[in-house]
Amino acid sequence: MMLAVAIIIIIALVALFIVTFLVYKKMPAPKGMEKVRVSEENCKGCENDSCSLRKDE
Amino acid sequence: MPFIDTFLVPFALAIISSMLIDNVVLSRFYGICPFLGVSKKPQSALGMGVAVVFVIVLASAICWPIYQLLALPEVNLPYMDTVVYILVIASLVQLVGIFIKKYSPSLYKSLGIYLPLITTNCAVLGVVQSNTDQGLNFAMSMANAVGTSVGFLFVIFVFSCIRVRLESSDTPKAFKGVAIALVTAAIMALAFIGLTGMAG
Repeated sequence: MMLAVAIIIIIALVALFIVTFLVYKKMPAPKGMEKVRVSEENCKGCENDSCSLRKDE
Repeated sequence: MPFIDTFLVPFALAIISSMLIDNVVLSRFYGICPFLGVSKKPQSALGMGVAVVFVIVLASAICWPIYQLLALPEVNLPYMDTVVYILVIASLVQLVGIFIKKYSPSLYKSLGIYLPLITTNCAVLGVVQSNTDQGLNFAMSMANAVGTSVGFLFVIFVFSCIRVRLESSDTPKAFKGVAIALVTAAIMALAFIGLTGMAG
């Protein structure tokens, strides 16, 4: 019984994350701030080239 | 004054302790990635620090009652705390991002780009986890969250100011960039050890 509750909680939270992630991605940025990004000059800590915040448009 | 002795003094001590003595970056070594990555300019460091304060306080306020629910004898799922916290923090960051994007363009301009980075900041998870591991009540959890996050903001801002000065200093070629930054962080950590025992 408790295993089922645990699985339901995880599924619900994952679903919540997916929904919020998609809404955030699809929501247009405020006017004039469409290209606000972390510049490579200011963010060199982890050197993660696949980071979406450092990618060029 | 019993209110001062039983509530205000422990509350203030908890904030000072988690901010300076048990600093999240220099003593517990959480949040090193943004500490090194977003500390090249004081303005970026300040933006990141404020965003971390915002998320840590909010995440602690939300995760504390969730843990109390998981730990209830009828539910009895306290072992699920970490996975629940990760998902709650990730969703919370997205929700805050949506809210800021929609209602506060000025806040989005200053914090928006740092919000997704905070999802992977282990300092947030570390604070929330330590709140429940230590069995703190809600008020002390909030004190721990405020102190820890302000400690992060303080340290990242000071570190960024030092890095700006290091840029114009005569550093040996082998030490330029991240190497001298790590040496600086180590010296800062040693300096913070000097505060041990300050709050009793």
